Amino acid sequence: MRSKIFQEILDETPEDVEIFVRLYADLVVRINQLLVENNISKKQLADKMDKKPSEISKWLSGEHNFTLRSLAKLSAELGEPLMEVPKKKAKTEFVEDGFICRVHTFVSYTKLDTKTSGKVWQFAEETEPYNEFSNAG
Amino acid sequence: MNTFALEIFDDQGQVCTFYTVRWEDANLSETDKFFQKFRYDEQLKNSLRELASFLQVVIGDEYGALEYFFRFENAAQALPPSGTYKVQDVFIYYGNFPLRLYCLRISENLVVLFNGAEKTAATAQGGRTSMAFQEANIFAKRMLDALQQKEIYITTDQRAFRYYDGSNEIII
Repeated sequence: MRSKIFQEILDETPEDVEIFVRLYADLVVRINQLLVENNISKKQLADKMDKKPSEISKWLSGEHNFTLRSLAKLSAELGEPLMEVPKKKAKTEFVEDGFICRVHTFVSYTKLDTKTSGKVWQFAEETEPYNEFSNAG
Repeated sequence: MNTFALEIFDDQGQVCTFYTVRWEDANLSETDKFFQKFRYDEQLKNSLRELASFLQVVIGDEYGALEYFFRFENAAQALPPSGTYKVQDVFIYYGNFPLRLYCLRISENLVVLFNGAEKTAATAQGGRTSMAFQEANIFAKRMLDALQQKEIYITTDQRAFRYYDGSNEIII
């Protein structure tokens, strides 16, 4: 059971708000976990970062927003990444006689429905993964 | 003495159940009043949505009511004699969050939400939060008294309250 008004407000909430709140909570939890795991007090962290303890408290209590620079400093002092950005490697495809040859860390072949004439390099697009086999190495 | 019902606000989360209180003669619970009050406020509705999302997604569904998601508004005030529980507000960890929602955090799995207000003064006792904070303390004290008197109890899974006779209709 959930309050009707609460549900309506959740339904009205844009997706970016949820993503922001989730990211913020993940950061706060991660920083607090690392402080406990590494047995570091807020005062010790402040000393390490050459900041006043009150400044660290402001970071951890939300008086100041995190910036990329403050996160980088915290990450360096805590010795663990606080945020990771997914990286997607660009890949290239070689199309020849109805087959796509994809170049990434391994090679795979996909049978196409239609034949293409000639040989041409083109940027990768999402394709159906049917009849696909690969040859790693 | 006015009596109030202790009822579920949201028990759909994987980790934490939220309760709320409703004066017996009122149509809306105190927490519904809080959300209704700011829902159409152009200045505050985005903050209200962030708070709603924080409650449902972060506390309710993912992490539970971790201590550092809450803040004691008045550390000097201990309720009741045990001093274990105090009225807190849900603490959104970013600068100058303008709303305060008062609550009683029983455990990581169980939180009672009260009413709240826009923060306009340095302390909960001042500005627009004053009345909501005082009322929250009244609700909390009576609930904690009821727990001590075994008028109500917490189920073994820590996710619900029950009346002494096992019923989930609780009037305090």
